[in-house]
Amino acid sequence: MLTFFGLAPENKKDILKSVFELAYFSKGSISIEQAYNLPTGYRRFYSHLLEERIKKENEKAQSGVNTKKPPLMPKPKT
Amino acid sequence: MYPTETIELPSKGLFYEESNPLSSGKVELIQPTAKHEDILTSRNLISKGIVIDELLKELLVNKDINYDTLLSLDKSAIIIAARILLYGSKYEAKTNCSACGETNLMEINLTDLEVKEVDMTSFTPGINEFEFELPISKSKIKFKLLTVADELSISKDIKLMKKNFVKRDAEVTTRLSYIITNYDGELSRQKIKQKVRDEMNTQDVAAFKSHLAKNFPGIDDKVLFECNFCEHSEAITLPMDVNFFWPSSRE
Repeated sequence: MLTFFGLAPENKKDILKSVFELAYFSKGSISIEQAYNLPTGYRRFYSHLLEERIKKENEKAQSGVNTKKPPLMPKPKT
Repeated sequence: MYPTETIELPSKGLFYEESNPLSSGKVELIQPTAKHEDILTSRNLISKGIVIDELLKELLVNKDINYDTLLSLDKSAIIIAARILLYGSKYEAKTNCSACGETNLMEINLTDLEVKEVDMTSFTPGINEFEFELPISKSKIKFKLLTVADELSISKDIKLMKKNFVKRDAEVTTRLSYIITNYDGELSRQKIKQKVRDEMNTQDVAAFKSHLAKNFPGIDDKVLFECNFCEHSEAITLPMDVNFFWPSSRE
């Protein structure tokens, strides 16, 4: 009998966290209940997809900030 | 509803009675969800040693299957299938090199594991009883392939023995007394156990084990180990540790 199989209590937190994150970052497209009932393979796939999208959006936003022209300094009064 | 996965049993259903749904040689598994991961975190089930059994029962689509009748050799295949369904086929296991002693991280693709090729034509469908003559003592034995229920009973017996401080080799004797159903005409388990202990010498035990390994189906769980620290390489049994159901690098 293999008694060492099984997950530690902290793993349970990770499972719930991944369910929550998928629901949270899907902006309402997937509920917590739906994420909980998704096959783990699907959950991993959607989480990856969301992670990539968020990364890309962040990079886009970041590059937008960098290419913005610096604000014009008011000319000093002479 | 998500698609299910059909798993072919290594036994091909051959050793089950015709009325048993497992005699089809296939089982259908549902795709595991967080609910099934929750089962794996149950302290209660882990401490009882039945966490995997509870998980597998939940995953079986056909609830008419009497899980207790599942053969251990088929259960191993379902465990591996469940692991692949839960976390993918990549499995990283820590293994110590038998030559230099260094700890290696082995990456194993579980889909590479294959069913042993054995001649199945010699078996009679529906019969889980076989004969063998021990080469040294020339004793004639009849034996069976163990089921989940047998494994549970063995585990209980061993636990009880440990409580009573019985020597470790009694584990082997107990297991053999469950596998062997007839020892030179003796049918009582207690008496068979006694015969195994007193009459079955180590060469007979080794020959019997080798007969089981060579002639009966099951997952070929030998994987190639190549040490990263020395030149050593060898075929080892698939190392199954705590990470088997919780991969460190989850895909």
